[in-house]
Amino acid sequence: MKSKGTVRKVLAMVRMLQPGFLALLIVTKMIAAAQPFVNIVFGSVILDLLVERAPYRQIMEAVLWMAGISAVLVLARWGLEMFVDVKKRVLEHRVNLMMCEKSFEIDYEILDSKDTMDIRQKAYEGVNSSGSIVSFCETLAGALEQLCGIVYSLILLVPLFLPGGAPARGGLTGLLDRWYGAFFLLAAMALSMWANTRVNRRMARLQQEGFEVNVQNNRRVNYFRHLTTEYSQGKYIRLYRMQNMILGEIRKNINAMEKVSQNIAARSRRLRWLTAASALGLQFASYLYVGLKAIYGFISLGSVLRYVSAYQNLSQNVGSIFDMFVQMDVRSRYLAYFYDYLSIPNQRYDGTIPIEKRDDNEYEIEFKDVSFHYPNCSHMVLSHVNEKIRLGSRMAVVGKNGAGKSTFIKLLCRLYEPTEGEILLNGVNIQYYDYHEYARLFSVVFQDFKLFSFSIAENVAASRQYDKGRVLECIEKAGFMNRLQEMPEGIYTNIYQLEENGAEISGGEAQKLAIARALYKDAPWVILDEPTSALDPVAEFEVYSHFDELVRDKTAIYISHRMSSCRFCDMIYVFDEGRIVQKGNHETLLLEEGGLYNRLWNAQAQYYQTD
Amino acid sequence: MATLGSQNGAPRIMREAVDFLIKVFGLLIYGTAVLTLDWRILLATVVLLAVDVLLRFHAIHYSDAHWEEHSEACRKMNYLERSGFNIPDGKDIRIYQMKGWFRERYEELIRQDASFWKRDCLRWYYPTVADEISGFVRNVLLYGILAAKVLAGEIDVAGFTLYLGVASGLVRWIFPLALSFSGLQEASHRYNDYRDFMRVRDVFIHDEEEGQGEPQRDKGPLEIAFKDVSFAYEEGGPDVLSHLNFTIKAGEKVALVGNNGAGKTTLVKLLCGLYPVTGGEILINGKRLQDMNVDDYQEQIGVLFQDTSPLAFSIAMNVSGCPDELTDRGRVRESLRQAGLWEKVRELPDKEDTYLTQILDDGGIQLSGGEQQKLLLARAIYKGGGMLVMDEPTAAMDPLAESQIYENYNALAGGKTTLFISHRLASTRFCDRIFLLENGKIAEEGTHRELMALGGKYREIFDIQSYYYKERGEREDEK
Repeated sequence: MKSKGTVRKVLAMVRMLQPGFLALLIVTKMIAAAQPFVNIVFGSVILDLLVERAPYRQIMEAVLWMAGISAVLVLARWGLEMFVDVKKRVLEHRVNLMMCEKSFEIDYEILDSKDTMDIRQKAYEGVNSSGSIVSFCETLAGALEQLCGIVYSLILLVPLFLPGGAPARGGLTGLLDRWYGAFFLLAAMALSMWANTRVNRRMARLQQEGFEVNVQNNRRVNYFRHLTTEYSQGKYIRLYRMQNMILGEIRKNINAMEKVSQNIAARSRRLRWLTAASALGLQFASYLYVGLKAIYGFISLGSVLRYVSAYQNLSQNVGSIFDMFVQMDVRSRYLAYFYDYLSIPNQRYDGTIPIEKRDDNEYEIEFKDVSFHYPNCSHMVLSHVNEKIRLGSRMAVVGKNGAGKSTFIKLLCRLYEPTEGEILLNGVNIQYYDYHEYARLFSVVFQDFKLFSFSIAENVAASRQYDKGRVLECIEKAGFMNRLQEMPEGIYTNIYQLEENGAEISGGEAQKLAIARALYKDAPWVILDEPTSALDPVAEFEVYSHFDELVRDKTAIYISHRMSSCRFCDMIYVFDEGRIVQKGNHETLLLEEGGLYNRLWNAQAQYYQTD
Repeated sequence: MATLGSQNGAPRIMREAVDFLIKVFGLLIYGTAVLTLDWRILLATVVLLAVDVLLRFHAIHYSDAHWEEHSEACRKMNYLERSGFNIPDGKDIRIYQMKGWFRERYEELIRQDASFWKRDCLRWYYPTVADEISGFVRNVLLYGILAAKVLAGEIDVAGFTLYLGVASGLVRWIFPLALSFSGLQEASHRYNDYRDFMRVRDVFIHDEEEGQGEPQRDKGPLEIAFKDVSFAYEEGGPDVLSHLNFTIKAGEKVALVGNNGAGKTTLVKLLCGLYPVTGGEILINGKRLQDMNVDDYQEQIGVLFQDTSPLAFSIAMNVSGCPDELTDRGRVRESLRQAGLWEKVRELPDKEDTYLTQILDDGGIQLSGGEQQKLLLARAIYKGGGMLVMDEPTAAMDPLAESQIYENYNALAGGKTTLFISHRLASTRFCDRIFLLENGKIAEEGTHRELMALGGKYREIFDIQSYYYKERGEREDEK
């Protein structure tokens, strides 16, 4: 990741996310660079005045100017820093938002892979440690500050190298007077810079090494930290005395991380003495040169202070600028992870065909010889599935655990792509459709559905804005109304614990809300994966009896272990080991003696026969 | 929260404390030097320090007072980010196109956070302003005094430079000192959170010494009695359980049924010693639960709850709950077999050492909902003990697997006292007695036949559930 390209990219992104930040930063740094020079310049003036025994009033005037200008600069600088700080924070948040949105956009299939998890983890950590956009900008601005400092210093130093007023002398002292005496100083500066750059490079490399190793470890630490706050796991951890086991794993992790840190610390310790030595050497050189010049009368006493300070500032600035370049290089490398993550392609959104809205609702989906296995596992979950599904029917999908029912649904929703074969909508491969449009066709209640810690109304509508009447209607249909009436704030009640007084809802109640959400979306295909597993018999019966009403003219696909739900479906698909082995309605399937359906049905129905 | 990150809390205290000591030392040296010059300079510097410290305290105080409020926005943003990274959530997010919703919420939070931050920053600007004003005064004073001394001949120009350096040096030590001090304060405030957390008292007795009576190490089945038990989650809140009375004899198999919200899961949590009762008492083998060592008691019970996710460790560790070295492998395999999961586990290359999810091990696998439930069942079986409690253990299992559990129920229970909670009334066939819980009380009690004959709530629920399972003919009759 070459620095030049990164710089441009970052600047463009910053300008987009937080306009004004860069300009503010630059101005602040320029003022900051000027700060030390006020004292340098005025300090030497005052010193000279003192040597000349100037009147007290004149000296105090100079002092007042110095103190005054200094104060103004500092106030201005820190005032601006305040604004910079706020903008910095907003910028950071916006970058995080970008990453968050990206994870919503990536194809689900790609999200669900370990590689993506790793890239995302690296990006997240990179951004939060050395690779943040903000620190990148600060480094750039820092370089600018150093540059200003260099310019100011040089301006001050020029008179130092010009021949002084004293008569020319020979020998070494004469050399001092020549302008090329400056080379002595330059040499000292170059040496110190070289030492510093070497050290910085090595430190940066060490740091990054540690980062790579720790990404994995941090992922684990995050998981453990998450465990301590999840109270559903807390029950098990206490009841099964799993504390020792978990603590053991945590300790292992920490020990590993400690080893890494210690190793890095040891290696960087050895580098530090070099930096200290070079700083001392530089000071010595500068005082020697300037001091000698003063002794031999080439420059005034007061100006000694000025030149020494200016020279030291200059070397510091030049050294820092080189350091900045090293830093930028390092930061670019961290940022690379971030850009890697952002540039994961969204293949789903390559499709462009819009779905034709059909008033006659004649949608037909066809699975053509579809086979599928999950990315991490070679076992074929679906195997040569061939089926046409027309809108307007009620379908049940049944089978044993792991037979491929949920997978079938996920492929239908295009969360995963088939490994072999294709899925067609009205004769066109679904990959050609615009995914936003395609997703609009489906209202799904997954087995592991998720509601979010916001208001009930927002959860039902899956958006910040909603139609209140419609929300209430859907809640009523899903059977949640009784529970809602117990809540003083009604649909504005926040659920779960993110807010102070978030309402806790049980698994069954959550399921009803998920159903309400599916209803609100009003999509032509309604898919319910175990929608009544947490509901009690009465609530379950209500859902069944209103089912017709709920899915009036839509296609409903109903996955359930509750075989009773098959009774009111027109078509039942029986899955076994990734294939559709039987299909038909309840009566016909029941007649197939020894068939899987028959066995599944009886396994459950036997307990409900009246003796 | 107190130790989160190395920027605050305990690690910060360690760093700042060392820093602080160094600065105090430097201060002493420079301070003495300045004092020998002119006491007024030292005074001015000290006054300056005092003003600065006061203003910084004000800033810290403000930060503290608004800490909760200010961190709220960040906490919520973290929540949103975590949802983005959580893979199962991603399904709903895509199908329902929730991106826009999240973005709006996030933007709102950014605005909120920015306005808090602005207010915070302003508080920190005040010390800077005060510093500059008093710095101005101090500098003028310093230069004035020193210049006068030079002109008066008391010190020479070299001395001027020296004292100037010393006085500036003093400033260099004093301000960081104030900063250090306020930093320490801030860090210790965060550290207090940590201390408070560590000091949280246990509700139950855990210590060996404090428990009365013998630890319950009997290996036999337990007898449970609830005497007039009431419970509310919040003080003054509604009673979830109300004057509950029942006894489960040792070795008895009891089914607990009832509608959502009737209090079934709460009853289980009380039984497991996870929450204390607010009224009445629970007796285990005749001894009061609140007087027992709860750790020993919990050794005796195997429990299976409704919310199913396993831990990201290996299958064996999930089942045994122990570190690898202490796990009894034979017993793990037997438990998996009894739960119906062994066939699947046997096929895996690492068998029971396979990790679940890929968080801790790249080669980890995902289990389906039904498989996870079997895993939890295996965990309860492995544990053994005198009582087995199962809360909806078959909710995610297919009919065949479910019926297997029922058929093997006796073997599973193995003479232990068992409590089976389920919506699926089929399960009640295998139990000795059934309790129907309604509104926090036991409304009906008896065997399946007795309750059907009673013709009450139980019968009603049973009929509703069996409705679709009956043949067409039978249903017509009932209509």
